[in-house]
Amino acid sequence: MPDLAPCPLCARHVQITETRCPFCDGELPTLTPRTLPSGLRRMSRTASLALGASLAVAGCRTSAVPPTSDGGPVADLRPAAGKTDLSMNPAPPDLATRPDLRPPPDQATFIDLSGPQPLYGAAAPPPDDPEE
Amino acid sequence: MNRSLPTVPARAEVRHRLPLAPEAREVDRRWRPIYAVWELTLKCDLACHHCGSRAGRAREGELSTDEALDLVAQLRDLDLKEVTLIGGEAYLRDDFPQVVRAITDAGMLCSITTGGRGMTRERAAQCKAAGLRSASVSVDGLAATHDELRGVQGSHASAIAALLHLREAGIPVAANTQIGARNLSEVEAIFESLIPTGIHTWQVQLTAAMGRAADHPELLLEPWQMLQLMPLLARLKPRADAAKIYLAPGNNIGYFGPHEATLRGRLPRGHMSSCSAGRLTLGIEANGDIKGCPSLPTSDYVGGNLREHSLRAIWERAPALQFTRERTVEDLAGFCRTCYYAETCLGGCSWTSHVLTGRRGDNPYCHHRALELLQRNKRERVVRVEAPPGVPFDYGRFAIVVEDWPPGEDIPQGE
Repeated sequence: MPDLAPCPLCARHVQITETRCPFCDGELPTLTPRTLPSGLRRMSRTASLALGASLAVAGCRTSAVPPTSDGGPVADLRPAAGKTDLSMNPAPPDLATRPDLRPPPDQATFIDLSGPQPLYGAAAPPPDDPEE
Repeated sequence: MNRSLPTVPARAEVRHRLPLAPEAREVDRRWRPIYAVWELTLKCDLACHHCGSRAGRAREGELSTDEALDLVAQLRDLDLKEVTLIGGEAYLRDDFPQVVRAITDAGMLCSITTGGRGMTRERAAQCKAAGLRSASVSVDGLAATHDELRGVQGSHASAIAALLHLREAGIPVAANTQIGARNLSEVEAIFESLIPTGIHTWQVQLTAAMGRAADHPELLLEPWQMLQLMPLLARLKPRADAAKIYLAPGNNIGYFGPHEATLRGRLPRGHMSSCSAGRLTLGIEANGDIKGCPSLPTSDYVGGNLREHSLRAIWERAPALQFTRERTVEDLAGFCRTCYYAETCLGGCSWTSHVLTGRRGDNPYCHHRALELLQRNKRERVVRVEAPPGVPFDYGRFAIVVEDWPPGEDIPQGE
């Protein structure tokens, strides 16, 4: 895998062997790739933990452990003071007084929608493909 | 009143699962997963329109408690560092706290991703007591959009409440947002609404054409819309930094435009690398099926089942988990094959590509690709040509259409 570094002129990543940026045609200084922690080039497991923060998507998930500025987990896991102001959002509901928001009873098959009705509905949607 | 989600007639699911290789190669032994995402159950208390796994009912043959605990031991023996429990909705299993405790006691970090509908104060306290280290709550829009996408009125309020309950219980919280056509215009507002909730990370990803999302292609962004999305995320990055929130672009939000260093600068190399399925990540389906990444389609990427083989054997010897370990540009197709970044990116997210076209290695959801096409006054969009069969983790087929920029249509700002 070629080593890449951002062009100082246009910020596009270029191979460090380039002398001119293939994107902005600017003349490039000697570029150096990011210095990786020892062993990362062999994808050492310790260093690769930082990749967990990028593994997003339905499965490729970002590590949910909060990062520090250097990518490691924070030491203080307590909720930060003064950050519970939800004035920009509707006040979170008190589920004790909102039975309609309580989780449905445990059922093996169907979602119990005796509370708020789903927008999905029960009828099959009209096909958008004549072949369906 | 009981309701069921609408279903479409399921075509027979054809599984082509190769047997395990007789022996592990040196390269297979060299890679060990550090991170597993485990679908604890497919049972769910939401009805998301974009759900790739078609969650709702539990799978047939989901692992028993004993089998789940044995799996935890096998994960520990492979020296995994973190396990994220997902669903469906993981907390709908009665043994959820037990599994969390087992993961924690085995020395692994345990986190969850949740829709939050049933994350009451009591449940959050239960999670904390069991050792849960962090939780990511899915927030896919402002209230009306989120409720529509998640199929349950009030689900947005529940999600915000879940963030509060988890934080009150002492569990650090993150949020994740799937970006698609329905909520692209709300991305900035979503972020602003999340700032006061105390999240440490906001993870964004694209809705991919799998499961119910493939039933509804109108939910998908067009590939050319990377030209809108990436500058937008880059504009939000400084505000995220100021709020001490890590803006984490998901692996299927493409790649290597001018904002790559801004958005992915925290990664070890400072930029996107290639798909790590079967190298660093592991996906577990609720019935014990094992994949290299939990997002990958079941029909093509399950390497084996825990009731037939050990986890180690599947990891080391299943062909379906080996595809990234010695991968080259020969695995690529279309634009990706001759891309400047081909050797580094290797087509980006295998999942996103495969569910579109039936193969990995040609991924149109790429900022660099969109910019290159823009230089030729072209853009790409996707058109569904075959509907999915209607089973979890299924996909249909889409064509990638290259077209001229329509006359009179503005090119997205920021480029």
